[in-house]
Amino acid sequence: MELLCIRQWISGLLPTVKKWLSAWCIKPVGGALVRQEPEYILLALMGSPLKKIMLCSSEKEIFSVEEQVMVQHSVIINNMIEDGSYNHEESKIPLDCVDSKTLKKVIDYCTHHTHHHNDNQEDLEAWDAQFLNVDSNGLYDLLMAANYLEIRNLLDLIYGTIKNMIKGKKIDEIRRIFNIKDHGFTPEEEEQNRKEYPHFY
Amino acid sequence: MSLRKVFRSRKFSKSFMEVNAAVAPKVEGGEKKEEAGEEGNAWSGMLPELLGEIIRRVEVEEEQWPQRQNVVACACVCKRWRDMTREIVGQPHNNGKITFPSCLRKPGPRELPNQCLIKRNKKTSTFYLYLALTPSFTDKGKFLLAARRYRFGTHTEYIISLDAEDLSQGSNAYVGKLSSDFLGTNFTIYDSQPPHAGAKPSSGRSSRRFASKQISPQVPAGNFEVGQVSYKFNLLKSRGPRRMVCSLKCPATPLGETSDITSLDGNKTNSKDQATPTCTVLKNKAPRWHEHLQCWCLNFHGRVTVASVKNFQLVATVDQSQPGGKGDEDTVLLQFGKVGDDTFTMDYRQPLSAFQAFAICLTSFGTKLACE
Repeated sequence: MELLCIRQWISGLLPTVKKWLSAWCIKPVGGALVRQEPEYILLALMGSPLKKIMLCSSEKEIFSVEEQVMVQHSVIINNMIEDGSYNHEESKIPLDCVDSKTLKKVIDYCTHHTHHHNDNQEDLEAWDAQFLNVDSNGLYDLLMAANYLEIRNLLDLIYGTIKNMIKGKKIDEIRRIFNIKDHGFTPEEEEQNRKEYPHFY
Repeated sequence: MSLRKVFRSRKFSKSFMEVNAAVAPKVEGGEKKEEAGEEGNAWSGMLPELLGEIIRRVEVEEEQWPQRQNVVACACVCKRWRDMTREIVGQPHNNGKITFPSCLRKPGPRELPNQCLIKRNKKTSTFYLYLALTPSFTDKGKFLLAARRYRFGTHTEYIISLDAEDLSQGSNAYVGKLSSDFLGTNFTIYDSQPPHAGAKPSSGRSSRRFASKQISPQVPAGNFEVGQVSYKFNLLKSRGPRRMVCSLKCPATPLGETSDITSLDGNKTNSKDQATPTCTVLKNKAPRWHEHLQCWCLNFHGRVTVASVKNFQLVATVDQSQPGGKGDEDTVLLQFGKVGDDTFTMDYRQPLSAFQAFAICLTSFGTKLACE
């Protein structure tokens, strides 16, 4: 409640303070240096620290993230915070099936999209394309993590990328890209497939 | 409730690294992957919901050929992808779309007909069926079926095949045949696959051997009668329009359900089909005499541009896909007509399949004694 009033007051002051704040608004968040919007800096200056939550990867590494970043993106974490099962003083959220490397990437994604949601579409898409420039193993891990944490926009992004990796490719190439060594067809079935669609292989 | 419990109670899938290391984490209510240790099983063996999402997105974007080949590619990558692709292609909203060869035996779309082209090669007596990809009559489109006419002493046969080069009954690509009587007025349509469970192959005039390279050897090899087409005598009126009647054994098109999935090679029987065959009866829509133009006219909506006695439109008098079995005599289910010297259009819709429509159109070729 208190936070809401402060935000409204700040929004009123914003045009005046934005200028002199914008020069030195840099704050480390989630392990990366991110340009902060002036509102957050003012909040920090006024002594209302942004709430953080702790996420614990399968390798037992702890990541500290702004609560509102994760709450905005992950349905699962949002539900947990809302129903009060997370205690800010003591708890850490165990994510046993997400390893550290993937969790860090997921946090990067959520953080960037929270703080840069006002950026223009092209810049965001370029950032997303760079973000998903990973090998198929990494992509698989990201897909599993996004599904587990129920991060809708990241899931949609990954599905779109996978779909583009499939489109226009020959079948042998698809198997190579996704590292599918055992296709599960009997030799006769595979031969029949190749006879029926010679141009697709 | 402890946080650990909250998370463990959710269904999840192993991460890629854990799959390859053959370590099984505790899974509650989730799928256990037995193929631990196999490289690359992560993508082939992922959660069905996720795989379904991926393939659904590919399918939705690639409705038309040639891009629809991406859907076929998904079905050939591995067994699990094939199962998921067939499930998605078999969903009701995809009815009538042509993806796999097995779709040629499935009913066409409910609303708008599939527009096809038939090209005739007079020299070789061969006919080629294409799915039109553009409205132009000169662009061929996606090849679907080919048929070749063989004349015998007392009858004529058209062999229908998936392979434009191989038009023999013995090939794997053999789909069915059309057999006509001497006068060319009564035809029987045969399918190489049983139209329903328990169907018996017809005892043909000649026993033909089929290639033994079938994926499911328990499918009986033979020809199954699936329809009849007859042209009526037109003794009094010469040069008048033909009258034709077709009766087809159609698998009932359930109003809401999907029909069962057949395998990619189209050889597996559909064991869930109903035991009693249903019948569809079609007759041609009578053209009207245009006094001013002094000719018989039918409205082909621009899809037929050359006058020909071969042109026809079929409507249903008995249609099991309609409530009460009564056909809607205003809806044209099959339309066939000439647009060029050797080019014809064929538009068909539910409950007809591409194969049935093609066979019926083939009956229109060739002279019919005592009919015109």
